[in-house]
Amino acid sequence: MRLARLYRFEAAHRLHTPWLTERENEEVYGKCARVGGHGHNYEIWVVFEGEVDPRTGLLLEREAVDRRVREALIERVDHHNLDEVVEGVTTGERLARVFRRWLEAAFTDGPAIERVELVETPRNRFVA
Amino acid sequence: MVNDSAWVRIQRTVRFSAAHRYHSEQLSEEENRRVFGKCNRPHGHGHNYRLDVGVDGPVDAVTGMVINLADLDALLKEKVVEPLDHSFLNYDVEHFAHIVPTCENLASWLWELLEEPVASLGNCRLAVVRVWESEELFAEVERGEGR
Repeated sequence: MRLARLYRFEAAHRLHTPWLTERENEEVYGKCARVGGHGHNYEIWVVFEGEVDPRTGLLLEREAVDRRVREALIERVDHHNLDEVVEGVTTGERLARVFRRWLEAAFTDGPAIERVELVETPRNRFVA
Repeated sequence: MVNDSAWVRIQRTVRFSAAHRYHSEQLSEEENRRVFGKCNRPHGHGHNYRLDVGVDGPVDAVTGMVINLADLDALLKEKVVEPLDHSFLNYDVEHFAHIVPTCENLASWLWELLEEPVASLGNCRLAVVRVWESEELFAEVERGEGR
């Protein structure tokens, strides 16, 4: 059984890596490499997997999980510049993997995280 | 005739609106309030539910379809939409007389309810049942170990 919950946050970032020259950064990342950065209304689906407690009928208690996800992820990124809180380039692919690791660290004693789906814009979704 | 034996998943969505209340007979009044919060309020509340049903099967060489969607629609209408739309799940669905109609339990029950009738529609099998309680929460049962 899986239970999925959607969370939202708003954050700035800029796609730029020191491993490439300025010109290469511009070629690879296009508008996303512009110096001042830009932002998104991110959405993230956190999909948990586990057994349902027969007494409550729940895989997880909503409020307790929301609290943990807020502490482990949302408060660290909402209205922040992602380049200041995540090491390395903040592509959707990398963010999805990093956020999954943060969440796994917060749920070591709880239900397993089956996947996260990071929605950068309505047209971009990154599953990790 | 195009013989394309690859399996494809086809997914159909139906919607129904229903009331429910989270209250477990196995918990004390205080535990019920703590675990379920607002969802435990005595007179219930409701949702616009969405159900996604995924069916896997080979693409038929003649029709180009896994199943006829009209058949799946008729099945979902008979088994899900007619009995559940504008119902109170705790009182109107026998299965939930003593089982809390959480999103998780609803997904498990719908899987059991639909697995055989979907298989009888043709050369196909139920692959996934996803129950959305809101745009921010869904429970998902997918075919895998034990199913």
